[in-house]
Amino acid sequence: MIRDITIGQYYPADSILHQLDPRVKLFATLVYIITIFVASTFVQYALITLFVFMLIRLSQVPFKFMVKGIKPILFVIIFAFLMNIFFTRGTPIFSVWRISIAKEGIEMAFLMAARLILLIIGTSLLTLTSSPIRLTDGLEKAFSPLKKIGFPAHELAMMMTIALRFIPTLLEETDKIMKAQQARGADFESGNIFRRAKSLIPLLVPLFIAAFKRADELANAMEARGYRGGEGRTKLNPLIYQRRDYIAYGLILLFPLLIFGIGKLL
Amino acid sequence: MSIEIKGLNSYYNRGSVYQIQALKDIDLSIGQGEFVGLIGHTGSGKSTLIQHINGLLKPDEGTVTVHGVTIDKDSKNLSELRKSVGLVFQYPEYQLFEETVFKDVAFGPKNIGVADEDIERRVRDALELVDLDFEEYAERSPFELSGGEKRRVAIAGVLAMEPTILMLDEPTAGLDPKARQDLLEELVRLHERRQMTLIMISHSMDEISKVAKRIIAMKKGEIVMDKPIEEAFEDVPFLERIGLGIPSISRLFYELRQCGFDYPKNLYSLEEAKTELLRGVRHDS
Repeated sequence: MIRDITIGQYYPADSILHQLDPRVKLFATLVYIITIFVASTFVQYALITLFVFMLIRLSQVPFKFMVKGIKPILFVIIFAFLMNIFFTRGTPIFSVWRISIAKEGIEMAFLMAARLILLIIGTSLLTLTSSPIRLTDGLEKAFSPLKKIGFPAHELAMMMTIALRFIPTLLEETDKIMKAQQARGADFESGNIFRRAKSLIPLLVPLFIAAFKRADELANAMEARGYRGGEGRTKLNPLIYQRRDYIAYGLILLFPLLIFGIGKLL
Repeated sequence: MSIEIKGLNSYYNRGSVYQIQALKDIDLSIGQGEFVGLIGHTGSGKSTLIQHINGLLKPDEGTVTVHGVTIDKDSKNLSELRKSVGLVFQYPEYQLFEETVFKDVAFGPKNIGVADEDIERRVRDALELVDLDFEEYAERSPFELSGGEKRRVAIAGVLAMEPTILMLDEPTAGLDPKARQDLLEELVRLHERRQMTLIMISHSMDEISKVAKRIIAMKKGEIVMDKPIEEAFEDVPFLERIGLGIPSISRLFYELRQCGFDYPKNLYSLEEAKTELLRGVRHDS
C-alpha cells in the first residue's frame, strides 16, 4: 500500500510530450489550470476532457496511471459532490422532509467533480511525462530572472530535487522499519485513533533519526564535492528550446481561446 | 519439520509493467535445530524468502508452514506466528527507538503480551545472550552506544521474544572483525544451548562456513544448491558459475588440488586444514 503513492511518479517513454522542454509543460499546466477554473459550461468541460484524452494518447502513458492519481482524493471528490448537491439553493426538483435538491445543485456537483478529476489527471500528466530532475531544472530556469531581486531560485530547485530524490528512499526505509517492528510484534493496524497514533512512535523515531543522519551525510558529501550554491554552476543537460517547444507555446495559447470560442458558439 | 515451504511463488509489483518474480517454485523444508546458511547474490531472493517465513510477506502462490501454522495468500492475524519466529533485519540498529536499552528490548515481549514480571527476566536473558551487562546497559540510551553495541541491543530485542526459529539477514555487515567474531560465537552458542533453528544470510563464505551446518544457495529467485556444509564447497566451478565465492580455505585446497596435490574435496574449516597440511608435511619428511 505504501508503495502505491504516485507523487512525482515518472513513467519513462519516448513520446513527444516527454521530449518537450519542462518549462513548456509547466506553462501548459498553468494555462490548463486557469482554463479549468474559468470554464463553466458542460460543453467546455467536454471539450477539455476530449483534449486531455488526446494528450494522454500522445503521452503513451497507460490510462490506469492517471486513475491511480485520483484514488487517494476520491473521498474529497465525493465529499465536494455531495456538498454541492445538498447545499446549493435554486429550483427544487426533488424534496423530502427538510432536504431539497436543486437543479443547480446537481449541475454544480457534476461540474465540481469534473473540475477536480480533470485537475488531477492534467497535472499528473505533467509529472508522468517529466522526470523530477527535468522538472526542477525547468522551475529553476523559469524562476531565474527573479534571482536579481534576491529570489533563491537555484536553492529552491536544489531543495526540491533532493526532496523528490529521497521520497522513494524514505518510503523504502519506512517499509523496512515497519516490517522490523512488525517482526517484533508491533501492530500498526488495529485499535482506536489514539492507540494507532501511539503505535507510530516505533516507526517515526527511527525514521526521523535516519532522515537527519542522511541529511547530514548528504550535506557533507555535497560540500566535499565543492558544492557552494548555483553561482557559476554549469549543467550536464542545459535546457535549450527546440522548434517543437515554440510550436507548443503557440498551441498552448490557442487552447483557452479554442475552448471558450467553441464553447460560446455552441 | 518446523518449516515447510511448498511451491512458493512471489512477485513484486504484480500486474504492473514493473512486475518482477522474486521467488520461483521454492520447495524447502527445514527441521528444528538446524543451522542454515543462506547465500546468493544481491537480489537473488534471500531476504524475500525469509520474510515469507514469518508472514511479513504472503505467498502469491504456494504455502509456507511454520510449526504447523500454514500461511497462504489470504492468511490473516499472524501475530501468533511472529512470537515463535524471530527476524533480525539488515542493519537492525535502525529499528531502535526507545529511551533506554531496557525499554527497547522489552518492546517485543510487551507486544506479544508477556507479563511484566517475566519481561525483566527476558530482557536480562536476552542482553546476557548478546554479551551485554544488564546493570551497565539497561538504563542507557540506545543512541549513545557504539555501532556494534547497538546491533547487539537490536538482536537482543528479537531474542527477548524467545523465538524457536531465528533468522538473521547479514547480521555481521558493517561490523569490525572483533564484533563480527563475537556475534558469530554468540549465534553458535544460541544454537547449541537453546536448540534454536537458525537461518543466516551472509555474503561472507568464510563466515558462513564457520557456523552453518547446511548451505542453501539462491539465484534469481530459485534454490540452486542445498547441501550439508561438508559437501557444499566441493564443486568450485559450479559455485563460481553462479557468481558465489568459496571460503578461503576451500579455495586454497582447490588450488592445491589443481596443482596435483592429493587433498580431500570437502575441507573448509581451519582445524581440518591444519591437520591435513601437517599430515602432508610429515608425510614428505
